Amino acid sequence: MPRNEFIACMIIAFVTFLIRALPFILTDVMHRSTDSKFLNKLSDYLTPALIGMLVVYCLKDIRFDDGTALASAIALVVCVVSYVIKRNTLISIVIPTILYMVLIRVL
Amino acid sequence: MGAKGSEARTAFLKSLPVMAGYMTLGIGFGLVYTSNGLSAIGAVLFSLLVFAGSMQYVSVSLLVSAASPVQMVLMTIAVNLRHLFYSISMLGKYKGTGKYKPYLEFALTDETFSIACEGKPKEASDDPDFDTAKYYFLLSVFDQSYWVTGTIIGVTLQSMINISFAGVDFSMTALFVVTFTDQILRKKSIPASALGVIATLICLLIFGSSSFLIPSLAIIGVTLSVAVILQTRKEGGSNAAK
Repeated sequence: MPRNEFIACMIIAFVTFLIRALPFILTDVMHRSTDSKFLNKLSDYLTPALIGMLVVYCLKDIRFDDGTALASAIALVVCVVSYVIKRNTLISIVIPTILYMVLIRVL
Repeated sequence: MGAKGSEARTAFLKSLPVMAGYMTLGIGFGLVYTSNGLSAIGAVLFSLLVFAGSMQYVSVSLLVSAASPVQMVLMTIAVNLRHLFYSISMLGKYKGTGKYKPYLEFALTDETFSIACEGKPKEASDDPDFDTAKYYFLLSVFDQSYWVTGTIIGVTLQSMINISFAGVDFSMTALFVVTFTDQILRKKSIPASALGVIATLICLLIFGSSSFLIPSLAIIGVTLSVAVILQTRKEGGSNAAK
């Protein structure tokens, strides 16, 4: 296994675990309260904002000189419309992905 | 009467809805990881040690773009921050789970949270011998086993079938777009969703695709903190006026 993958895995695993364990560490070890009105409210806003950021992050490398932009646009429309109608996460991930894989080969 | 193994049976039944999703997304992750020229063992290690779906997909693009450790840490915080709030919600329920606790904290994914947050299952409400801590533990183990199994199937498919899986990366985009659409449909703060998209787009145009994340995070974090502080003050003020 290449070293860069191993190091990346360790960094990401450590930070992920730290985030998940932090409230337990604060209450169990340091006896601090993590039930803050500010934090709870912030999380209500932060989650949708960060998901919005991630959508843009996923689309950052779209190029307009081949068929990928059109393929992405079509697959995105199918993704959103199918989710609005069926509300099934899995269907709205698998079908647009297969469609996208076909479209980039055809277009 | 607490029949032996009833924790395992209940945990298995409760985990069934997660199975299809984790197997599929796990297969997707295995395919995305290895079709980007990364190693099969790396994909499995990520699923064993990180166990965070969205972040694992993002890790692939971080590895491919040779991101720095600082960028990796910041991106992990951005993608996984919501888990902080799952943990806060589970503080009470995971209290006194003893030897299971470190693993329960590690394995608190979106899906496991959505099941475990219901607490002791109704099926076991009249069973005094039911070990709820063990139930949480087995539920988490089942969920992770689907995720790891999916990953192994994904990397095996990639190495065995001699066709190109180019474009399978779109599954990450679809995953976030579905979550985004869901937040909009539930009317979970549409202005915040819009802020996330617009602030990031502006930063992408100004800073370019290799360094727009940190300024985007800063703008989102500061704007929302200020908004919450102002809103709390306003509420405090109107309460005092009553």
